[in-house]
Amino acid sequence: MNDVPIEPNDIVISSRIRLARNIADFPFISTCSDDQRLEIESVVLKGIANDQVLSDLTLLDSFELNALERQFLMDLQLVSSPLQETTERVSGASEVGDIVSSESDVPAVSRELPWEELASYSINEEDHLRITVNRSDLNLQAAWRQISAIDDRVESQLTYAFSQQLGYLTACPANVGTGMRVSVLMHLPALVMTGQVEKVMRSLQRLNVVARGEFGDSAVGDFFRVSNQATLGMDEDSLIEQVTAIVPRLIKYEQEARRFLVEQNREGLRRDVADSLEKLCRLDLEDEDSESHEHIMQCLSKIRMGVGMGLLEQADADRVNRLFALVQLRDQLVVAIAREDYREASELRDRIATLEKGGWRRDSTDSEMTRDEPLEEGGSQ
Amino acid sequence: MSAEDCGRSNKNMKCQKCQKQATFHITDLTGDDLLALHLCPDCAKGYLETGDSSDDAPVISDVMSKQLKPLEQTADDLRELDAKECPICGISFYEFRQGGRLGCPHDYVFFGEDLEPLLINVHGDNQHVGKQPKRGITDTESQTELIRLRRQMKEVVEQEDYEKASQIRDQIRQIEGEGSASE
Repeated sequence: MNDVPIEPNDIVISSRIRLARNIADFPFISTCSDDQRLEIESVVLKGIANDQVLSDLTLLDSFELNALERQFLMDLQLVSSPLQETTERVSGASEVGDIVSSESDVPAVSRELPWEELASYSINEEDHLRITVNRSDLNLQAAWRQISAIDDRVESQLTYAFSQQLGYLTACPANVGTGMRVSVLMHLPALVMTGQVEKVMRSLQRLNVVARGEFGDSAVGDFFRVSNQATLGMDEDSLIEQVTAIVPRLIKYEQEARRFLVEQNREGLRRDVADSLEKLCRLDLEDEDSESHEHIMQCLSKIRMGVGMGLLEQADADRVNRLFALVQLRDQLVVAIAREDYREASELRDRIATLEKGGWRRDSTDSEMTRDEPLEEGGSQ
Repeated sequence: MSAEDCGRSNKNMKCQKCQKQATFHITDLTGDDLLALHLCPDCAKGYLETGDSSDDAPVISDVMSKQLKPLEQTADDLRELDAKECPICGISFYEFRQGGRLGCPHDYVFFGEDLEPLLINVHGDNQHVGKQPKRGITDTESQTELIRLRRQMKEVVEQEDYEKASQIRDQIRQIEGEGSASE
């Protein structure tokens, strides 16, 4: 795994590990009564409250967030790391939100970005408990150390359904064994544009890795989540290895496709990207309509590729940086409010206002504006 | 819903959704009426995929349709298998095939043989390696017993038979106590 780039680049967006766990002495969700679901919820929450470290986590109830805040959390996927699906109501799921790690002794992860150590729980979705850790880089070993430590702590409070032969027992037999899904979110617009993506994805199946379109219909998206197919018969390290081994190959294919596109028609591509930026500026980003969300994603995809390929002029690249900084600040604001840290919230609000006044929509040269570089500014020290 | 990939049928039949050759002949029993569909593998996959693709997991109904074919199960075998019901959670194999979700941990024991080809198909293996709970493994029998007792306790409480309920409660506590004592 030494040849895998640990640093994020413009093709790897984020990585994630998710563990599916069930409590031994309850039926699975599909046959649970409402009472049993409530009981499971309270058993899990009590277990978390009993653990000194876990109880320090901040509870972020995703169902109390408004649509805009939820959208920001989704957007985290583009900017840094994803808080996937936890923001979506799952039919039949009990309404328990996510827990955002604030401070813990769970093994060291980079502290540069506050959400780099974002761990979330969901209770009563398909399984009683799902634990997710997201990272904005490809360091899945670190993600595994973190999630396994959280898992140990939960397990010290609850008895998991486990069998010697089949491992962790899950509602769906496709998750049994390690109960672990390792995945990497990748941005592959050039493979889509050159019509190669399906062929590439099919070739992955032979390597026991599956790829799915992310953000809705895979037919229109440029974002793909690559994950392990099997969960039984291989240990966690091997599963991580299996998925990470694919990544450099996909990066290479995407880079080749980008090079091909540039050689074909650099000017057309540049115009395409610039058009997307203009189009995005005209779109109402706060529109909750799913169709406009799709448009936004399409524009962002093009812009992201343009930035990665150096196709944007400096002024435009600055606008994109400001936009991304704005989205990040808004995400931090959501988290700050959830933690009831109003001092930080008010600071963030002011910074957002300054940034908005500076204007990412206009080609602003406003010297008052603080240049918020997303990767350096992120901390909330 | 039952689906089979039968090559023996009319070779000239076209997919109802596109013009490719239909190799999947699906009879959908979920509605009030029987719905017969003839689809190519691609469209069939789309049709059989149930809504929950959120977990990157292979779609069980899809895998199932592949899995049941090589076994060459007769309709009678399949009907018999479908009718099997777990005594703990009450889910039938048919319900599992439809929804792709098991009802309780005991299903892995009860439907063990029936699930094995599916596990091999999805995972290429049927033996867990990797992480284990640190606390030592409580035996599945007592876990299953707990599920059964809890269900029983609920029933007798509904019948207001509190004497029986208290007996069952004590049984539950005893099993739970044994579990934590063995840590």
